[in-house]
Amino acid sequence: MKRAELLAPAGNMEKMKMAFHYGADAVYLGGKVFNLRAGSHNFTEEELIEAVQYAHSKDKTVWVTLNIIPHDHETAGLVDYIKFLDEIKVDGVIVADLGVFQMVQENSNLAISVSTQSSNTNWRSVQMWNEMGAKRVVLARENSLENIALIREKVPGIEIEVFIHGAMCMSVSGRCLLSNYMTARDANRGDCAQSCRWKYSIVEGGKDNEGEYNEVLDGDEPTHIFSSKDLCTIEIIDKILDLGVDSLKIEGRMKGIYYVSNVVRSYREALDSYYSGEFKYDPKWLTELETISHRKYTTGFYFGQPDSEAQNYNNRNSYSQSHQLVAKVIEKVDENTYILAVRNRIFSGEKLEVISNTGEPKVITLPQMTQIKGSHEEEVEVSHPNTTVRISLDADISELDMVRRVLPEEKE
Amino acid sequence: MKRAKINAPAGDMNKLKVALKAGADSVLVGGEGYNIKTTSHSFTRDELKEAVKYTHKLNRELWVTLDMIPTNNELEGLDCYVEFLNEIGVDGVIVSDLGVFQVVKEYSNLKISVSTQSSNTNWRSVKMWHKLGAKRVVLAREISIKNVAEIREKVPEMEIEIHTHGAMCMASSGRSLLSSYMSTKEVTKSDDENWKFSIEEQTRPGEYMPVYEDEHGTHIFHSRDLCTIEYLDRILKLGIDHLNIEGRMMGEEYLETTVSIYREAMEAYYSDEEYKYNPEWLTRLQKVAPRKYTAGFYFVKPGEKTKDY
Repeated sequence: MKRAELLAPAGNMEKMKMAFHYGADAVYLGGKVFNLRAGSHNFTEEELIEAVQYAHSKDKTVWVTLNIIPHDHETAGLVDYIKFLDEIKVDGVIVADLGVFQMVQENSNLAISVSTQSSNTNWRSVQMWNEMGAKRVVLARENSLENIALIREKVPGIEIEVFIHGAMCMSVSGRCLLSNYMTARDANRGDCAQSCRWKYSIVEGGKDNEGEYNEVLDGDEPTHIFSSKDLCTIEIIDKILDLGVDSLKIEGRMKGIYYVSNVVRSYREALDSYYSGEFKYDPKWLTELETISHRKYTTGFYFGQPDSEAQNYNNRNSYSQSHQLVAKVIEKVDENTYILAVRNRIFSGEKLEVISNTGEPKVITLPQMTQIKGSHEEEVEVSHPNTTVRISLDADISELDMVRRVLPEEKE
Repeated sequence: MKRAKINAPAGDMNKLKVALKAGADSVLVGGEGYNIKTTSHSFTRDELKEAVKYTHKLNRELWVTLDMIPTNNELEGLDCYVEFLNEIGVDGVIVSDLGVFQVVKEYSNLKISVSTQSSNTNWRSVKMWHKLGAKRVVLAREISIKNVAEIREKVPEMEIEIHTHGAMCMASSGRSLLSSYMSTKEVTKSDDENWKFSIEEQTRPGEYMPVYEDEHGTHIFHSRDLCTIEYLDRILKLGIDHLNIEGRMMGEEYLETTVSIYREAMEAYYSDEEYKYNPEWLTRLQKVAPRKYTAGFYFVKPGEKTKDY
């Protein structure tokens, strides 16, 4: 059976490298223009060249997002950009708009993946894209396992990609302009204000102009009635893989390296277990996923239209976080000497965990640190974010390992 | 000069007659299923036959909306339904989904209009729809008038329709958001009336956004209705083929007033006399409006919010 690829988000070069290191087969990323997640760092043209070369040197693939729904004046420069991407041998592009689709086809040989923003929820629309020459379709989130199985069966000639983890729109993707109407920030051009995450009251009324508006639920505080929980399918990953989809997508170009690495690693282990021929679900996969900052989890639409289980009523984001990334191992100088890039303040003597792309987390006690600033070195007990330190440690850790701290449990 | 036509909504047979009498060139109805249900009445098959006969007698057109975004199950029966619509002489259908589009093309000769929900914001996507065989595109509402003009200019072979009046759906969700929330409060949502519910955002008091739930999910409407009567000349000047008036749930009085005012304004524009905007048009529209008005996104600068009255 052909193996599904694990596709990770790459908000910048560092995140891409971490994603590959932790087990992604492919990444998707955006240039500075023409894509959603306008708030992410994204890649300059030089960085795009470097990224593609890096990925290909490791036998991995890179997809570039061109997934906005552009207004006419925004299509200027797109043809040149498409030709550039084709030249530097990007593996494919992700598009949401029929006009952009046409421009890519007309001006390049780039493989095209149709974005979730195109709301593909049935086999006939997927078949249409197949006939038009798309290589792949990223299905809408509003697809049950059963629905996907039929699409797979009816359209064997096209690659199918599904989301397996990350934040979700509460609307059918691409069909929401709440942000446009409420804030003038365009959701379909990368600037969504996430209006669905604000607080709303439900009132009765609105039928005619005599109608009075009465609170439906007396005394009820405005609530995050639309806010969606985050998607997490680790517990049902075997059911998704049984479908024979081609690509598993993780959302999150704007999230940090700890999120990307941890999520990739958990699903990588699950995939490897599945493809070994003897899938065995390991509860520690979910435990690890819960160490990242996240909203509560839901399986979304995979089992049919979701109910209140998929919504996040109590708090706008309801992020819970049990662990905090404090540093990244950037160099192994020799057997016992390591250089760390500090991300959060750390203290000598504290107990930390080191996670790697394989194996169990290792517990270490952080020794005395030598802070390095250019040619200047200083022994310190505390080091702050954006500093670099050297430590001596008798533990087998590697470059690109991450160091984390267990956070005290939050009181309810 | 090519004259634009008015496309009006008809929630039921009576409203259909009202709309045509008030001067609509075509009417849009919803049958049983396959569409976002924003009104309590769906035309039965018999009513559709009757509606077609009635409309054609007056030399106007009848269009049926098939604007759902279906799962595989929801596509079932669509092929037969489309064959039926074709047989009884329906003039065209509105679609939002490529799969529905494909069914219509395969099983009928019905003319196809692509809904505003398909977010056509640039000329190339409109041109692609022409290539695929669509007869008409209803442009996205969130683009500038300059953008509309450019599309008109660059794709002369395609019929262009724009929304000019009525409620604006901002978001469609596949989730039953109202029911889900109410289930946590042990309140059962009543299905009695349309538009029973609105939402109010905490920091925007007084702005009530109608929310409607049907079997496809939840649909959230903007707190204001679109009204472009003040700018009608600027729109007609572009050579748009159809002006869309939205509102199958509109009452008869509102429907009659709205259609006849746009008709009156259009006749004034196309007459030999110099066009003069009559402020009374807006006043009369405001008298029957269920919500306050906005002129939408057409006439604002990028980054600006909609132009509200």
